[in-house]
This record gives sequence, C-alpha cells and structure tokens, in this order.
Amino acid sequence: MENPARITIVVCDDEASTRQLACAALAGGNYSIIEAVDGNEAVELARSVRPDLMVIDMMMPGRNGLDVVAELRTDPEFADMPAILLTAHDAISHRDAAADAGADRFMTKPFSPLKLASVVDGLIRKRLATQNKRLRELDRLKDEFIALVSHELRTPLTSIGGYLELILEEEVGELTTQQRRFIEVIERNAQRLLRLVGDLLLVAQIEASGLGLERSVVDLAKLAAEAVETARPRADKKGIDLSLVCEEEPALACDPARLAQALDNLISNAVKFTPEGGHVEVRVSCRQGRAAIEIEDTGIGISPVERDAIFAPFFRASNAVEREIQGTGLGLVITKAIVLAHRGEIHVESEEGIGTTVRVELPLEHKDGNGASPAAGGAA
Amino acid sequence: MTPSAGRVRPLVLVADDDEDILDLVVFRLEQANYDVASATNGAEALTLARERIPDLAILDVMMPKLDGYEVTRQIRANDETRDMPVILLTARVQEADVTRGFEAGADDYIKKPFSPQELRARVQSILGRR
Repeated sequence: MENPARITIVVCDDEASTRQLACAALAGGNYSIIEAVDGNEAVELARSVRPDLMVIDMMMPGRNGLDVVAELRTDPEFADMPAILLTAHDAISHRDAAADAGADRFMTKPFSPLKLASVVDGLIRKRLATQNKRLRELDRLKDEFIALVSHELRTPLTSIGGYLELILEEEVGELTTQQRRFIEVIERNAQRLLRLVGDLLLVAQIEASGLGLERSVVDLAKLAAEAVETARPRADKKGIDLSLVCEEEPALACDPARLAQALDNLISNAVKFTPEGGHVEVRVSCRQGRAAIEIEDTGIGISPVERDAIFAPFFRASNAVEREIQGTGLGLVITKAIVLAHRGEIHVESEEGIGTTVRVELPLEHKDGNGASPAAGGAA
Repeated sequence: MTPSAGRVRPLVLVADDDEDILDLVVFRLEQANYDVASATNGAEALTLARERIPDLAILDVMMPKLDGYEVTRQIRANDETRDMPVILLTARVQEADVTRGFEAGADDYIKKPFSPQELRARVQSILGRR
C-alpha cells in the first residue's frame, strides 16, 4: 500500500530558535516540515516541494518574508497556498504590508505554539476541503466529458458506417470496381476511427471505474482460433507464417468479447511488429488450474529499458516510432486491464531484433461466485 | 410474427434526433418489410406511441425534450402502451446506462454503431416471440 501524500509545510526564519519553536508547535499534526533559513531558500523550496502551507518570518536579511509571499503569489500554482507571516512588531503598518503581499495570517513573535498549531490546522483543513471539492468537480467534468465524447463521436460514425454499408451492399445501385475500391477505403478508415474512439473510451472507463465483465463459459482454444483468423489476412499480406497450437481446449468462465479483444490486440501486435517473412505462433495450454496463451513472434522486440513502459497509456516503443509502425499506445493498456479484470497475469519476454513472447495466464476456476455463471450479465 | 389490430405488417416506431441515423434505421426496417413510424424527439415519439400503438418502439436514449428512458417510463405508465416492447438505441456503452435502460422498463438495447443484421435480429427476436 502506498502512503497518501503527507501535508508539507515550509517553515522559514533566519533564527534557528524560532524555527525550532514552530516545528515543535506543529509536531503533533503529522505534517512533513521542511526548514528554510532565508527568503531565497524559501522560494526555492516552495518551487521544488510545492508545500501546502508556509510559515515565514517577515524580517529577514536579503529577501524578506513579504518579498517571498509576493513573489510566490505571482505564480498561479501558489495562488491558493496559505501563508502565515511572523513578525516581532505588531504594528498596523506591518499587518497592512502582510495583507498586501498576500499573506493569509499575521502573527507576532513571540507566538503561542498552541495558537500557531491551531491556525495552521484551520488553514490546512480549509485547503483540503477546497481541494476535495475541486477534485469532485473535476471527476464530474471527466465523466460528463466521457459521456459527451462517447455520444458525439459515435453518432456520426454510426451514420458513416451505416450508409457505406448500404452503398457496398448495392442496395441503391451497382458500383464500378473502382467505386467499390474507394468506398472500401473509406469504410476501412471509418472502422479504424471507430476502434480508436472505442479504445479511448475504454481506457477512460478503466481509469474511472474499472472494467465490468459479462461472463459466460467459452472454449479458450476456439477464442484463440478466431483471433488468429482475424489476424490472418494481415499476416498473409506480410508473408508471415501465423500458426496456432492448442494442446488443450480449456473451458473458461470469462467475458468472451473482452478476452477476444485482448487476444486480437496481442496477435495483431505480433504481426505488426514482425518483419516480412517472419513467424508468429499462438499456443494454448493448461497447467495447475490455469490456462495459458502464449504469443511468440520473430519481431523487432522491445529494449530492456522500455520493457516496463509498454503497458502505460499512449506509450510507443522507440523502435516502433523509428520504423513508422502505426499505433496509439492504447492496445496493451486495454489488454492488461482485461487480463487483470479476469484475475490473470501477463508477462513479456523480449530480445531486441530476435522477437517477443507474451504470456497470458488465466485462472480456470472462480471461487468468488462471480464467474462460471452460464448467463451473461443481464444485457446479452 | 403477428402484427396487432388488423395490420398486415408489424408497425415499428423509431425515434432518433439524428435524422441521418433515423433515415438509416427506417430504410433498414422497411427493407425488412416492416411498416415504420418515425419521430425526431421524445415528445413526438410518445404521441405516436399513444396514437398508433406500434408493435415495437426503438428509441434513441439521448433525445431533446424527453430522453429515451423517460419515453420508456411513460410508455410503461400508460395502460394502453404498457406491454409495448421497447428497444433502446444507445451510443453510450457504460454499464450504468444499460442498467438505467432496463430499470426504465426497456426490453433490449442496441449499441451504436449497429450492423443492419444486428438491428434485424433484435427486432425479429422481439416481434417473433409475441
């Protein structure tokens, strides 16, 4: 488990005794406190650690507290960061200057540690509440955005695809060979756009709420065979020998559409990254209650430094970009999410210039009662 | 399939605010030998549903005035239209939307984009089992 980020406070005073007093006053608050000895260090620290609050002495040699606050306030990043100014003089002119510089509170030295702690706690609570509200608002906006994009992009694509299909079926007149060829180009690209929109939405959905599965029991070997046949035309075109070896035919409780999507992604990747005349082999096997699918290619491979990055959204391997191999960097993100949603594992072994083997392992039994139900969830 | 009330062919109501998609669905249904009534918003769809009592309603979810969920709810709330099968047409594929559709009383849903075969199969399976 990762620790949630701690609240960070910068305490800046040229006098060590004041810093120690302030740190001691705030020690009970589970804050991470960083000390700065002058104004320059305070500004530098603020920029690098982005604290949640700053306690700054007003009177310091060189850059004083007023300068520090005024300087930071010009950066939008620090517009809302609470700042407390400390001073030995409780003069109205000092209070005014502190307010003008953009400080939230003004405290005279010597200060009561309890008072400082309570002021800091109050400001931090207020800051967290504001941040929380903003995050909820952003979350809502993101959901609305996904819904909007989903509708606004799919609707025109539905029309494009639907009417192209009508024309290609020659429902409204015969096509010349050339007309058919051109319209097929449009259709292929509309399909590509649709897949891209689908992938983007799926990634957004996975990040927002995870992946929902509609499970039913299927023969994994059959699913793999279908995926291999889907990739066959592209393999043939590149003269790649694409083969399927099924040692067993494991019955698997899974979401067939999603798992097919994962297999399609992996096999089409293997074909895409394998040069002409290469080999791609898909193997289905079973061992110790787990089904395994391996996709081995003789492709360009992935360098060891990039191995871990391939499952990050929008990542493209440098050798793929160099060779101008097209892609969005979403396929493997989706594939991994699908495998994980099935409580499976995915491993990649690769050697640059030699080839890549992707191994997906899926548990055959589901003990949570969630799987193995013959009916797909409601909608099918 | 048995069309109701002295009809030779079943009457299907289609509602979508995107007229291009509406035309496409109407074309495909007429091609499959159905009579079609069409509407470009939810209010119009509800009026047609009450006046003509179609054998099936296909409603887009996102429509101005009344959305597909609300039209479905009102179809279910009226004695004369209560048993009318409803298919929702949706460009959104999140599970919550599907659940919302079934909660409103829809019998089935079709995801956009849909293939003509899929449309025909869904319509036939609902009209055929009546």
